[in-house]
Amino acid sequence: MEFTIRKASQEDMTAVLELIQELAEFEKEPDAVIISAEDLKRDGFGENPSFTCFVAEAAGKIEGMALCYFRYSTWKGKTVHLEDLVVRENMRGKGLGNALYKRVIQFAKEEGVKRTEWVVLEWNTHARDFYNRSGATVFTDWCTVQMEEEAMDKFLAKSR
Amino acid sequence: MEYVIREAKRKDMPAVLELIKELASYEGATDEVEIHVSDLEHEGFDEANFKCFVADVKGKIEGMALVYFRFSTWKGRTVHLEDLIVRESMRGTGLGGALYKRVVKYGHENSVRRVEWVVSEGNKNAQEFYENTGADIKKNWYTVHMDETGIQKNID
Repeated sequence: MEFTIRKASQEDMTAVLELIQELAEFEKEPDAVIISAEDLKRDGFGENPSFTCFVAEAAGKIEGMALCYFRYSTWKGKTVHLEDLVVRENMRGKGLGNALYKRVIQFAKEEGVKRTEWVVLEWNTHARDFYNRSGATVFTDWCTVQMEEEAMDKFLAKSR
Repeated sequence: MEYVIREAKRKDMPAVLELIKELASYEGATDEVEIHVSDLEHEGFDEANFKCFVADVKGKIEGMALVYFRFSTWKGRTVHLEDLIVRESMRGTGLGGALYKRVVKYGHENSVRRVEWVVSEGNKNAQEFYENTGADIKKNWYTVHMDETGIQKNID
C-alpha cells in the first residue's frame, strides 16, 4: 500500500484528535480525552511548540500518527519521548505503524539525543515483544505516578 | 531548621550535579551520569529545557527538584518531576516535603491538569507518601527506553 510519512500541519489536528480518541478507547479510557483540536493547533505549532507530530497519509487521508516531545534526563540530557503512536484500526498490519516508529527514532537521531522513551501497558504483550525486538528495553520495576488537578488543589489547600 | 526553597541559578549547577550523582550512586548507577555542569547550565538556562528548584540552607544547596513540561494527548500540558533529591545527611528535616510542595505549586501556577513522575516499584515508603498526598500509582504502565545503540540499530 502506498502511504507517506510527513510532519503534521495544523489542518491535520482534527484527524489526529480522532486517532487520539480511538487509542483512548483501545486503552479502555473512552472519557479521558479532554483536549480539543483547537488545543492541539495552539500547543503544537508556532514559536514554542509543545510537541512534534508525524502523520501517515494514505490516499489523502490521515490513517496514523505519532506525537513526541523532548524531555530532560539528569543522566543523559535531552531525550525524545514518544507520547502516542496510533494507526486507525482498519489500517493495521500494513506497515504504517512501523514506518511511524522508524520516523520517530530517526527524529531522535537527527536531534542527537541519547534516548527515545515511551510507556507501554502491562497487558500489551504484543507491543512489548515488538519493542524488545527493535532494541528497546521494557522496565517492569518503575511505576508511573500521577497527581491530577483535583488532587493538586486539595494537596495545596491542605498544606498551605 | 531554617531553609529557603528557591529557583535555582546557573551558579547552583555544580551542587545540583553533585546531588544527581548522589542519587545515581544510591541507585547503583554512578556510571550512568553522562551529563556535565556545562550541560545543565546550557539546557536549563540558555535553552530553558527544564526548571530547577533548590533547598538552600545557609547558602548551601542541600536538596533539589528538577521539572519540565510534557504534553498529554488527553490532558494537554503537564509538569513532569524528573528528580527530587535531598542530601543524605539532611533527610528528615522537611526539605523533601517543601520541595515536593513547591513542584505541585509550580504545576498549579502553570495551570496544568497533572503533575507526574516515576517511582521504583520497591520503594514502598515513597509510594505511600505519594498516595497520602493524593497521587495515583499506575502499576500497569511500564517505562520503555531505547538507548543510542537501539536508535542506531533502527537507522541503518
